[in-house]
Amino acid sequence: MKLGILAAVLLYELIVIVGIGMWLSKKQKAAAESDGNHGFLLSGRDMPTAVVAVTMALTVLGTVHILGIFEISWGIGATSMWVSFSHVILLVVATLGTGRWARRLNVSTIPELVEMLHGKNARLVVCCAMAPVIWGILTLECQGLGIILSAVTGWSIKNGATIGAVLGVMYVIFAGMKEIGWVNLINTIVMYVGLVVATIVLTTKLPNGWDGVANYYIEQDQDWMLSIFGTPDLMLTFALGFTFSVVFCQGISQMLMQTALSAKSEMSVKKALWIAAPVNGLFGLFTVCMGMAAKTIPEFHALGPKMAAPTMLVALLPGWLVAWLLASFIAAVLSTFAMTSMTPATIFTMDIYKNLFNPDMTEADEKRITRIGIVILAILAVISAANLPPIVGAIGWLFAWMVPVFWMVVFGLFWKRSQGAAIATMIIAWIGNSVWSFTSLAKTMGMADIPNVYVTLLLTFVVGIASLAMSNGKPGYFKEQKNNKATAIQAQQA
Amino acid sequence: MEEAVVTQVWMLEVVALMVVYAVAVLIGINKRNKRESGQ
Repeated sequence: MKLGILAAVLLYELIVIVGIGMWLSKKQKAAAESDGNHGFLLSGRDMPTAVVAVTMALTVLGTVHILGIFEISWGIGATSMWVSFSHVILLVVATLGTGRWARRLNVSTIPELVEMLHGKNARLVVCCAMAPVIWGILTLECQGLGIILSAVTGWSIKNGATIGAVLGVMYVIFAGMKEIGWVNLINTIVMYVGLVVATIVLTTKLPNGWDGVANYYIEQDQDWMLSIFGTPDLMLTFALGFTFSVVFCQGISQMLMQTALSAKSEMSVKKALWIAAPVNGLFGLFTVCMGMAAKTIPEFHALGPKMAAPTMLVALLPGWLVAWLLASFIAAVLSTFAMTSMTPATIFTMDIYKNLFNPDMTEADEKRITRIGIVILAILAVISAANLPPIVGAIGWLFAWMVPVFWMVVFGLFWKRSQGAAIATMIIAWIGNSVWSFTSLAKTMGMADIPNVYVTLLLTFVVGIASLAMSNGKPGYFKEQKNNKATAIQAQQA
Repeated sequence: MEEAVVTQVWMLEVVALMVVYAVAVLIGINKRNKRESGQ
């Protein structure tokens, strides 16, 4: 039965991924490739609103929303819904702010945007941190694929991760950004219908229904786990900290911005909000319920937070629905896998290889180097995936790295630009992040529960604002444009 | 492996990749400087 489920899931993924990938690849070859719009990396900047929206939604919807929530809802209950709320806030910031601004300036990568604002050395510093941070997310996606496949087949997480990585590479390797976009559109529809049907069927299979789940937590004196506002302590250390991490990292990360940069226009990015936010935001509701339900059933409780919910779904749902749900979960993880392997490879190709080694490279070279990068990064992620930390905690640490980049871009667009201030702020915030993680400072100060994002945010504001205020930098990019426009109008009138 | 050790090892892997990218950048800067001084 389990082999049948696995075969059905793999067949679905292969048909959708390879079918769409090959078709788009042929179409791209038939069209003139060298239009200067990076066909493979940025889909020729032709992605329509619906494709931009689901790709933005699914790029930041992966292992964290499925296994991360299964795992963390075990300890904090409904407060884990903040994983979803924080991503909705992120999508508002990305579609109405950072994504639109980056698309308006027509850059190919975020480090390129940083160069435009603060100078070429700042660009290189950013790409050395941004690409590995995105790769860190890729390792977690690999582990997610391993766990999901392991729940169905009984394979080791490593074997599951390897098969998942092969599918993930195929998700992007044929036609790049365009392939990711169109496969995502189909997968979103399949995924949501599957989730709704699975939740309805699960309702009929739970030993005491959803009331039984609620009663379990009340009887354990843990009724706070039934509220999305949990406890004040959890709101500070988890909900607010995670929201800051997600918004200030993914709000500027190449991982999410590459989709905005591939959009037809700035307006397509803005309109994408109305589809992206609900597609991403509703997902967590289903997985929080599933995670909390698994804990209440003794046979699954015994398996621990990582494996309880996936095993419960396999055990309680009919085979055809398990296959459907599994295909949905794998599709969600694969979409993030595809973007997290593509974007660090894009940063290497555009910001390091093209920028420093070979400025005359063609689009065919871009495609080749990016493809090699995708494969190498995926292999490294599989090697790392067997032993990984708790997912949500790991994401919090990773995301804290990008906080100074987010704010230096915002300051550079609207206030002031200075390469020295930007580099100093980023380096000091990153040293702070590392000291908080690798030494006993947090424990010694009695602040072990304070997430890294507060540390990098504080250092970014203190160092960033002070150094920019003291520097003789140029005015913010948009501010300068506005001033230039006003001067031109005055000159015309005179 | 203990969870804290696993977490630190994984964090170091991410930092190691940062070092790899930084080395690639340094080699690239050297190459660009040579190319520009050659011109």
